Amino acid sequence: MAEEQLVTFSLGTEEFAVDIMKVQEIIRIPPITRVPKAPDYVEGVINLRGNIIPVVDLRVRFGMPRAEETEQSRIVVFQDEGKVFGARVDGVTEVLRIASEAIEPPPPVALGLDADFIRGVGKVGERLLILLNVDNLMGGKASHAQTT
Amino acid sequence: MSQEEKKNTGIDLEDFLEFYLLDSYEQVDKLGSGLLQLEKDGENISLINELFRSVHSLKGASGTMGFTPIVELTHNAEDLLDKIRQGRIPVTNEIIDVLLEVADRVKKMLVQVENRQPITEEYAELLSKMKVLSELGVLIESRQALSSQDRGEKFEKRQIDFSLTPDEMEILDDTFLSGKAVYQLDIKLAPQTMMKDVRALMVSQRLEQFGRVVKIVPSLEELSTADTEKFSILYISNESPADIKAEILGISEIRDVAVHPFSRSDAVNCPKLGKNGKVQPSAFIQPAEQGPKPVPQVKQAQTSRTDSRGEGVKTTDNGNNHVHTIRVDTARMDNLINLVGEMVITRTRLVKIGNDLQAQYQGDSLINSLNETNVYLGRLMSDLQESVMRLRMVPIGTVFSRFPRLVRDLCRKTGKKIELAISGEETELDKTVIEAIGDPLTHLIRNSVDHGIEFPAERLAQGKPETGTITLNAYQEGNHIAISIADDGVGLKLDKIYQKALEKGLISEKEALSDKEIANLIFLPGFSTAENVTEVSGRGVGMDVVKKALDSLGGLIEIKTNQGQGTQFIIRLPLTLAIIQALLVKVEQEIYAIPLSAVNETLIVKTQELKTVGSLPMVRLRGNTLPLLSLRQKFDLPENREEQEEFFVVVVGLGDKAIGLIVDELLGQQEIVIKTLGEYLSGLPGIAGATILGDGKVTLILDTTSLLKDVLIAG
Repeated sequence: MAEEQLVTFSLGTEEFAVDIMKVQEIIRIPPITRVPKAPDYVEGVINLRGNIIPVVDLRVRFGMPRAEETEQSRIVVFQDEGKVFGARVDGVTEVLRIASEAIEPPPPVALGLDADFIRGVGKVGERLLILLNVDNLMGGKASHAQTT
Repeated sequence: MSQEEKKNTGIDLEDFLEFYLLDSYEQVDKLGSGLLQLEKDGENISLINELFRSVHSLKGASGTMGFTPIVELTHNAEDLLDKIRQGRIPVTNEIIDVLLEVADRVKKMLVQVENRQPITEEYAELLSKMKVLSELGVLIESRQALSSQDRGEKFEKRQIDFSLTPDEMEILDDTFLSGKAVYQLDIKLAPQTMMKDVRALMVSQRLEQFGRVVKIVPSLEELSTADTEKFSILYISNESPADIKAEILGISEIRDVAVHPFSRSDAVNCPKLGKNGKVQPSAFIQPAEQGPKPVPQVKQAQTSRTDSRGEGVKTTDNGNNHVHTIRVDTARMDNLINLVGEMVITRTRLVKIGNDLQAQYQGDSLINSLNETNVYLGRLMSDLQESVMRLRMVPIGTVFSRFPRLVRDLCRKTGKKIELAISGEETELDKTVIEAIGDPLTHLIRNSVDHGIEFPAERLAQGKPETGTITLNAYQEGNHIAISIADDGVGLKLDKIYQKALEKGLISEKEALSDKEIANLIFLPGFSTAENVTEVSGRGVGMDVVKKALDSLGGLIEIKTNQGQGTQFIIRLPLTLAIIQALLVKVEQEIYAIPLSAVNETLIVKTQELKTVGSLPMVRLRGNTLPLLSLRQKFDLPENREEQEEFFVVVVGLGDKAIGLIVDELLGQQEIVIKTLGEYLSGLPGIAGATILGDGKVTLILDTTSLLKDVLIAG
């Protein structure tokens, strides 16, 4: 039976999941440098061991209100086809396996999120996980609408 | 060599392809520039010899790699050059044209090779052109030369110490007993042969098909570095000496081969000449005279030519085993530069820690020595940095070298007479800049030829010399490299430019423009005054392309023009791109880095000195008005400060194009390593990149060119 391994994290009351293969590492929040004139969901850039990578505030990206930084706040560093970027989340919850059959396509009315971001919905017991499309979190067509 | 043969050799030619390409491109370039010189000089025997050498080594290398079209082209070019050298045919424009075409064609083929494509460039018509040209010489050629070469083989058997191991002796002993023939092959490579070990390996591989190679002396490793063109092979085979010889001569760059029988007594290191029982090499005469003579072979004519040349230049040829340069993959070099960059950053952290410790535990001798070491480390680092940056520096001559040809071709096409004077070729620039500067320069030179220099008749009528001059010069100017392209042509027609700009709606009539400003209009997109669209320039793509290319390199361009006397373009480029000196400034809580090369001065301006013209704040600076830009507003930073009496201004820009940036604090000067913001955030207005400071925090580097443009356009 095909399985997927996912990293799950929380934003407010929602729980999200991404393919573990796209996650490079998870770090605490370092000083973030604001980048003027960048799209509003780009919180800034950070120094990741000598490399400068952009950080997306996923709350802003998903149209949720900004939140204060807490002890649980983390940056999930994604790498996608050699491109690296970080995403700030409220907290990383766990790493789990889920059967591919348990993943359903996104509902037509996409939970109030841009459908481009959602790959599907996974059920783990009573929990509902929103599977994210990592490719579109940074850049992508939705961002252009906001920058211009 | 055919594909099949390539397989037989069993070595991976791919490994040598890079080397082959680098070398061949170099030879083609040499050929190209040499031909231009030849056109000027006429009969210049040493130059012709040099050209011959380039063509010859191209042919040899291409033969090895199996690129037949290149071999055929260069072979015929070689013939032609040889006739010129022997004075059988004169140097004519026609011949130069054809040979230049050969150089071009070969270059195109090399590009195909580089792209791992089959060679599809047509060349048949060039071959026949060359043949016709060299036939003209054949008519007066005496046939004597041919007959005189038919003298048979004379090649002394060299007394070689094969230093045979017991195992090898055993093999030989077996062979002697079995009655098979053992040969000593003395092989001589063409002078200046590249990759001698490969050549020897190829010989050996080919021989292995018909027998057994026992030993090669000197060994392949030694041969690759040895200062000799000769090597010997101990070979067991049933083939006849003539067949063996033919087989080996089929490999290119092999100048001569002698096949000697090898007897048991030779094997025990007391070689005696002519002692043999197994083969009857009637052709083998062993005269006392040392040195190779041409052998009657298919390749005879060419081999003998190599000989006659080889003797003349030998003294210089032998000097080329001293290696002064090595080729290094740029990726490796960039990695090195990155590492040095990281070290620079780490050192600034060390310095910060040292200072913090100093503040905390004053007068501690350990801390003092830490700080002293830091200072010393700093000195070493900047030396290291400079040395590493030097690695990336390439003389601009590599770009300039293509222009004599360009100008010549354009002259022939347009009928103008132009001399290109080049100076400052040794001026060095970063490799990235060198790679990108070629096209803009080509554009400017085409422009000078087409729009600048007048036709000869026109020039004479104006009392100018018939031949126009374009001067290309490069020199260092402070932190910049300046490249100047000047012509003594008509100069820019400012009134025409102004009219055109009006027609096109690029400017409005109300604007009172200075001559300089009018001249700069030609850099606007969509501007082209050429009355006739010519092949040379004015193809709708105007000078804005040049401007754009220079912008991306952080360069500036200036025009000086004099009606009737000529036009000069001056390009200014930054010296390096990776590590720069920067001024750190603070605006609110943010720290920004401004490249020091862009900073003219810093000022303290009192609020009451501030004037607002239109919507722009300005101050008077030494009689001029200086437009100001508030970084706080530009970057939408939250304003937390109260109204101040005075503020800091950083003046950036060159000459009359300067603006002042309003900042809160000046933090000082520091060396920074430029890093990109990555694909996602590139191209943001006002930001050129980022760097990491001593505390590990990311700081943005301001793009002063784009900030300047914003203000100057708004103004």
